[in-house]
Amino acid sequence: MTKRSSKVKVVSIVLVAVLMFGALFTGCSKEETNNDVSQGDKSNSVSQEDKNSQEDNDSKEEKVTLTWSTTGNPGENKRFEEFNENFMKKYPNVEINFIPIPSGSYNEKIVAQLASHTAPDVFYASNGLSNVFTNDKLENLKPYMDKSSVLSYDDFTNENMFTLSEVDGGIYGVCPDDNPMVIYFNGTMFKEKGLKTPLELYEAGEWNWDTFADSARQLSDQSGRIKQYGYVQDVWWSNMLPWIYAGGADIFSEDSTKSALDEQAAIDAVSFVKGLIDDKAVAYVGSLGEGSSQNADTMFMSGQTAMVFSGRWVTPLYKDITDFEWDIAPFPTKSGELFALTPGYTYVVMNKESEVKDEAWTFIEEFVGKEGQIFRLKDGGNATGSVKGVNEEILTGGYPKSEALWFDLVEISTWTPLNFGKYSQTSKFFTDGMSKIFMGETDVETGLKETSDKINEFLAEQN
Amino acid sequence: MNNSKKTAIWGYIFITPQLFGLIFMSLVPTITAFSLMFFEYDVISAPVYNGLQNFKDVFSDELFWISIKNTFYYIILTVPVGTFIALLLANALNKIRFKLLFRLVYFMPVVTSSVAISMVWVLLYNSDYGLINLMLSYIGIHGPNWLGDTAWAMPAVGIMSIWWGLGYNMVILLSGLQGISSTYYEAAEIDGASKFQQFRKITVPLLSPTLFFVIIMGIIGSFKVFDQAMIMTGGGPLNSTYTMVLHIYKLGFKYFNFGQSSVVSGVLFALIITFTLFQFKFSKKWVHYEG
Repeated sequence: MTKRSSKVKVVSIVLVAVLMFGALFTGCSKEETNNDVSQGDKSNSVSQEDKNSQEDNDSKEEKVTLTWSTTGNPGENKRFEEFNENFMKKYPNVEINFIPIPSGSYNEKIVAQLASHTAPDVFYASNGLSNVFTNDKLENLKPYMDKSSVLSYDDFTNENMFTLSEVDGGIYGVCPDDNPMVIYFNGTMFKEKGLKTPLELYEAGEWNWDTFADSARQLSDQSGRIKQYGYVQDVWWSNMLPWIYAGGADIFSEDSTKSALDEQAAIDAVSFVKGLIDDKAVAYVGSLGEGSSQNADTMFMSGQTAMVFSGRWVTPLYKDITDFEWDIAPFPTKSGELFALTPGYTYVVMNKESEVKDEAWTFIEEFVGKEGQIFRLKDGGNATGSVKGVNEEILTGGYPKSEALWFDLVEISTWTPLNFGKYSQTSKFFTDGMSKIFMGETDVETGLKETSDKINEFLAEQN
Repeated sequence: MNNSKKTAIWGYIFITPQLFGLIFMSLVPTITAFSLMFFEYDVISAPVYNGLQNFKDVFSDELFWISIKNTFYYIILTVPVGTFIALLLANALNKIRFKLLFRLVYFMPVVTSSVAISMVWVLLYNSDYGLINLMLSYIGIHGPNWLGDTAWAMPAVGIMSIWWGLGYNMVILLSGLQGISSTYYEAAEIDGASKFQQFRKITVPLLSPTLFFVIIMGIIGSFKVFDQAMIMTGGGPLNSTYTMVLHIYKLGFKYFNFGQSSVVSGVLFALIITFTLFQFKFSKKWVHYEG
């Protein structure tokens, strides 16, 4: 290699490196300047030139971008997009950047974004993210609520709605909606078998564990290659808890410091479900494989189960079902009394590091306020209202037909215990224990005793 | 500047990108993970020093031992069978026509995303409408609930993994086979050795360095199994496919306990190092290097 050619090479490499780094830094600084301007930041980094141009365009409001994330099924996301469109029409200075995140990786993604200071301005935080409420990562919404004419503390229908988000006098999240869970049933399957539907049984005052078991057994069909079940038992704790409550038992002691799962009433309740699983009247999703394409929703939509237990969030998904008629009924109880369970602990929160806090609060006001909830939840939306006056407007007999049932259920619904909302370990112990029982790895009594012991040990460490 | 200095500078320039990658993507995270073993850390709060508490918690957690047991079970299921099938296949494809086409066919899964493959196999394994059970039903076998039965879930994940890694192992072994001079076989044939004797006495010994490589890489890869278990079963049913890396992931990203997660990573690191060193030591007894 000649001296000249090696010099040329060194110079060209240095030039390329300088250009690359230069471009990189220019890109960064440009972005910074744009952000400053767009967000109306009064910091010193805004150049005089930018300030002048801002003054020149005083009458034209600068557009700011507001990012928000949640997790939802395709039907829910469609409704959120409609809400975004409506919001942007009302507030033309705000550009919404909606980033839906799949439920399987939602919490991980949000935590990673918070750690890397790239979290959305507004996002959903549920019980799986309970640690963010105490980690100084969220904006205290109380001062905003105190000043707001759209959304105040007293608007909310249930005091439980703040149990997780109210920390040291601050409010770090607001419940976007409420969601007492119900039985969704395939009316066509019931009719074809000549059976009364769960709703008919409920209206006749006959909807209880006996009639539920009878229906499930009669609707189970194991003869074909593709099996059909009366009911599908999901692995999620919110799907397992109601059996214990509906059997007249409790999950925790009165002071919530100990598990009550090893008591006889709980053992009887779980034995009832286990019996139906053994009889193949009920399918247990855990035995279908966690990654299996068969889950409660797909099984219901494909006619593989006559009943599922779910919140209103499946309504936007089920709306497209044309193969059969479906409706809702309350969860059956041993005594026949009306019962519902609200999973709860889902909040809309604001990132403390958001640079568009005013716009973020406006978004939260619109999203959670009465008008916004009516917009989101009417015509088969994904939940019932969390503030007063919403349900009267949205539960008007659209999807499903008997949605007015939710009026009664909202009143009596039991919220999942705070120990489940606050500690993901508790729900894990419970879910694992129930899985062991439902898959026949242990008997009901031993399984519940083991689960109880694990929960007690864990709670003792926390208290 | 003398010539050797210039060469050195050029050397440094060329390795700079790789060095940056190594330092910031491997070395720093590794050191961080080792230090995190002694801290309580949930990513969004400042780490709090907690001594050996993470070790106590990890070793007293039943799931940790289940994950180790499952990982070893997976290794035993996949490495010997996978290597053996790859060896047979490589031998079969060594001297046939259209071997390039066959190599391509067998190698295709290797360059396909493990997530996509896992999703397809979930459908194949479906106990109601999956293709595998349908085929089995034609020969009168009632197929098991592959991914839903605690006894079958890990073998099911293992079968898929063997199929997935077969192409890679086969191509490596094939290149090893092609490096064996045909003169050995000709001489053996003149001496009247059968095909099996040739395979046992010539192919296997001369292929042993390649086999050693395939086994080492197979064991290291199997220790780190994650994608398949995560996508196909999520570690279930009843933790029967819950592997060490899945435990690391769940401790870190599900329960935000990065201290304990780092402890399990450290144990995995120690296990891989121990097994690899042991194999190197043991290899002297069966690996023959020509010349």
